[in-house]
Amino acid sequence: MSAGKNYGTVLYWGTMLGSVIVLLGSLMGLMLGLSWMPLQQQYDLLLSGQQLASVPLAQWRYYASADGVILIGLGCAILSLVPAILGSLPRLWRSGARLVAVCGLLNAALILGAVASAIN
Amino acid sequence: MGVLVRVPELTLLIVLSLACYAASAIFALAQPDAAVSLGSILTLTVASFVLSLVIAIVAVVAGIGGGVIFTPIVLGFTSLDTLVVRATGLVVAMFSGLISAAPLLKQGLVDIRLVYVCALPTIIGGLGGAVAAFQLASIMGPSGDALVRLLLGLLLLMVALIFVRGGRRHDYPQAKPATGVAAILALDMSYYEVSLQSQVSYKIRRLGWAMGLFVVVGFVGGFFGLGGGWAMVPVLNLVMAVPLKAAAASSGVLLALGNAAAIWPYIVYGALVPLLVAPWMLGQVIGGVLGAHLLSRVKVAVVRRLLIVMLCLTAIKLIHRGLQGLGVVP
Repeated sequence: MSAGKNYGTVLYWGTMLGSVIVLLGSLMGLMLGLSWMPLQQQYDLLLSGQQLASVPLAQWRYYASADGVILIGLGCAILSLVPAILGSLPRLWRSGARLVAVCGLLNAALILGAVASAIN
Repeated sequence: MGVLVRVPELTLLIVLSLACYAASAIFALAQPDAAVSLGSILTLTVASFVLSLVIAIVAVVAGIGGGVIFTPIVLGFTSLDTLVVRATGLVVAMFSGLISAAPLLKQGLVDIRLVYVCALPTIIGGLGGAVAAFQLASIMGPSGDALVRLLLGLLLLMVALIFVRGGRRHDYPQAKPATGVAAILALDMSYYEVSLQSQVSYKIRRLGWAMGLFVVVGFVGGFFGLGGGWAMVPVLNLVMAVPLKAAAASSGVLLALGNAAAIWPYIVYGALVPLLVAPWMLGQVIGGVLGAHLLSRVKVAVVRRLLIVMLCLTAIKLIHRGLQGLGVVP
């Protein structure tokens, strides 16, 4: 399997998994009303042009709510980029595209850096 | 609809999505006290899902990223906070690219080396743009925002004009020897063009210039939540001499990677609302797969016509909003 196909496959299944988690979160919010802030209150604020409060990323309790589960799904899809990149690098390195492999590594580092600064 | 048979996981996701919304609708009807309000939220959610699906198919085929369609439409027709719209716009822009990467890389339309090299300046620019969106909102105010929109709209019109006057030579640019950074990286690529029934070879050119432009594209995309696919295709095609169809396909994959860092500042500041974003994300994922399967069967001229229409429509919208913000038009 080429580096590109390897990258695409990991990303594809990571995004599919993320989508199922997002669906689960949507069900929790729309059917069970397990949202972090009451659903109708959220929409009232949004439709009147206001922003919601900052997301408490460091609070574990948040991830038991519909909003938290959806965020986990989104994060799962977005962060699948990191293993997708890392998995493709050995093949690129061996094929002689070493500078390109370094670029890939830097891309993964930048994404992880953005996530780390968000959590902190 | 052969794609639904060939991609069973896509069919499963569509069925699950429909089941989820149907179950929620039944639940809303079963609760008379909350039915009106929950019903309205559900209608909004399903409408968002369907619109997102359509945007994703058009965006993947045109290689522009859905953000450039989504953000102006929602900013123009709703009263949602601009930062919330921009955050959702980034999700719309990147998710069709995330899911369509696999089929496009498998078809050979996208070369992963090109994506990794171009993503680096795009991520840096995008991250800077997202941080600047929050930092500068208080300093620039609405008039500064309007001026940038106006300039962006004019730039897009110029790009559309170049595509209109460009003729066929940009569909398959002539392969010339690479120089500078492009020569060091030796980015010689090729893909099989179904409509020509032959292999199309190309060499990357002017990589140094393109890297600079990708920082700017990333910054603007991160700042406005437009993604950046609308400008990536012209940079790849007109500056780097990538054939138009390969450029359109690469821009989607590049967009997903380029915006992966820019989304996090929006999450931290609470501009990304999960329950609002969810139907848009699901629509992009399903539409992204459908669009990627459609792309290899579409002729280059059709892709170009779609691009020109999209660029013009977006430019008009941006110019109008810009002039409105500056108080020139009501």
